[in-house]
Amino acid sequence: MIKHIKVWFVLPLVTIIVAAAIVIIIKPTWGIDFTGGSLMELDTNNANVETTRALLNETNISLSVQASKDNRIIIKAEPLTEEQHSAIISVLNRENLLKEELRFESIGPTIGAELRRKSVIALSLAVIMLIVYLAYTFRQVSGFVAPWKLGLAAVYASVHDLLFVLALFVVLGRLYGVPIDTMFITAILAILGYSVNDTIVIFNRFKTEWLASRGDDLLTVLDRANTKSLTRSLNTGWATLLVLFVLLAIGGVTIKWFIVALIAGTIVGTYSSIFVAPPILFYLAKFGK
Amino acid sequence: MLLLAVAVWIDSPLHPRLKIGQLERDLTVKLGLDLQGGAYLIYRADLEGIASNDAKEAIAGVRDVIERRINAFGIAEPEIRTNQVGNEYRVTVELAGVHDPNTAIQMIGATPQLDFRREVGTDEALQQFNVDDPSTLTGPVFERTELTGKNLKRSSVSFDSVGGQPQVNLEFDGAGTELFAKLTKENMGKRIAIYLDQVPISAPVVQAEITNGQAVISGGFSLNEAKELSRRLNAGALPVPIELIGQQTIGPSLGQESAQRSIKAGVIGLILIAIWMIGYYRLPGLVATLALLIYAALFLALIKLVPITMTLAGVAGFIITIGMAVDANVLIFERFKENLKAGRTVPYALEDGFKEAWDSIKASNLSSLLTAVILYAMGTSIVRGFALTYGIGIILSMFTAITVTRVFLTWLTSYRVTHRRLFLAVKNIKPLS
Repeated sequence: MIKHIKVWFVLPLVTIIVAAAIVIIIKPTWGIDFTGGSLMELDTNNANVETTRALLNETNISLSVQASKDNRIIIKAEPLTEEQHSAIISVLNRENLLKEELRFESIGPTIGAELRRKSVIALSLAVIMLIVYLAYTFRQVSGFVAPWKLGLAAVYASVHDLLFVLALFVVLGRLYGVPIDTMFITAILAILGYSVNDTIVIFNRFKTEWLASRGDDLLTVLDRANTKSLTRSLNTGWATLLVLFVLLAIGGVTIKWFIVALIAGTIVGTYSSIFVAPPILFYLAKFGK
Repeated sequence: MLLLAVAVWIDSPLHPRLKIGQLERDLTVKLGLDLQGGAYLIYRADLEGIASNDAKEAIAGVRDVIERRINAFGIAEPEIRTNQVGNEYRVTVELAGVHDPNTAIQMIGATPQLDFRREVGTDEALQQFNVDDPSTLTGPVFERTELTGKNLKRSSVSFDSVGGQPQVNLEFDGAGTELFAKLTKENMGKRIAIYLDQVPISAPVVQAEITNGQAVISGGFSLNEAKELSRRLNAGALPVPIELIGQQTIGPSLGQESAQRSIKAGVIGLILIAIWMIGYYRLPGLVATLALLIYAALFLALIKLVPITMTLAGVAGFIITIGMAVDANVLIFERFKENLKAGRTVPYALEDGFKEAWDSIKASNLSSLLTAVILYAMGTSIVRGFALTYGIGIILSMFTAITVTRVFLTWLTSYRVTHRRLFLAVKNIKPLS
């Protein structure tokens, strides 16, 4: 499967570079929980976006109004005080447009900065802990490949997956205004878990195959480990996707993009455990010798 | 088996409460505010001018006052936490199931400011307020005194003995009693106005010096107004000012919609997985489905017992662990089938299948558990909800996949009739000698 090793070295590298370029050039659409800001989702009596916008002009609050599905509108603004919030509500109530306030979020700039910091810490901590954990789990293989190289290879594959999903959401953010928020970071961390999980299973198989067959070269053994775990990788990926697609179809709007991130992550995570992690491990092993 | 029986008993809606000696539990699933509607409020306490050693105490005072204010208005079980971020002290308030969060926010923020003012003559007022034309001054003019709501000990509602009108009784503390006595003595025959939130609500004429520290506000209240004022006065003032710096409010209908939809999605997902597993793995697939159902039963029992508040992110976490529970079974079955194809008999193939798969299951689940722990430590409420159910799900699913699948599969394959392609989806299984 990965006998054309050069292809599987270059392709992920290109993916990583392109994804990184997209993130840097297009720039992420940050959610209000990172930047600070307000978001209101309202159920209305046939309110039209233009008239609502015109009506809300009188509150002197700079805000944007977007249509959502089924007569729902979304209003975004700077962090609102309670007075400004009730001012908006009372204007809409006066015109008898408001059916129900579905949700209102307002995050001050300090909370935003704090959440940004926490997310960065959580992500870096997760990556470091995973390298350490993998090095520990695979300490018995140290005879032929340094354990930390297995850790590094797994993390490389995860970074590949995370960048891919991030780039996808940067594009989605540009096209549909999908925000990168705490829910996205949660999805990213779940993907990290899944991706490393998948890679561990293949590396474990590789360990068994390597110990069983003396004499075969590294690439052959890696390829055999891949082939033998293939049914499992696909079946697990497929079962996870089955649940995720059901969630996407009927799970409601609030978690829609969270599920999309998980679906993208599951697909790219399954792919990377077969075509990204083993090839980079091959090069890492060569490099040291 | 016993564990399962207990779990099913707990899950059954027939027993809404559990009582074992001291231990008493409400056996209904606690829903987070995103599933039943509610508000999540973050306040920053302004501790300017308060010595750093007193900060902890001041913040605890804020907590207590907020709690009293919320409880006074009968909002079910608010969760109030205080935490320190850098130099900032925060109070977070979670109000699940509140249908009108905006009122709740006003209640928390509203400090009833009570103060007593004395009447000043027109001449005195002219000097003080620097008014050019005396004729613009109409009605009595009042001036602030030192006596305020700070000096209040407690307040209650009673009825006027003459007209039966509701009124609010005030009882001052030591300093307040002295101030009030002095005030009434110096202003005999004049009026003392009681101001609430800068608005005069009552201005009785002083008939005598009052030394017992008791006063009455009779402002033509309705009974409810009198009760509300009394409660607010009793709840007291916040020791330090607070500022709302973040909030998240979910309306009840959006919450309900999300809850129903996710439950439906979970059930359909389980059914689809069951169909696929039974079709693909046959008998082992059936056992795995059983293990999955037991896993779901145990999970539900656990979140009811602990109890863990289910949020939308929590539901998502649970649904993802279904995938992981399936993964453990898939790993075992793939090894099992591989061993069968290699020409081993069923009991050995199964035993080795479990042994070989365990390594991978352990390693991969531990790495996921590690992620769950980091997520939990990162700790915003949404992420925590996810991390908690994800972590619990990983441990439980690992347990059920290994034990339940193993026990049932070993038992079923002890009947030789099952050693066929129809049941195990493998051709030419080597018969037991």
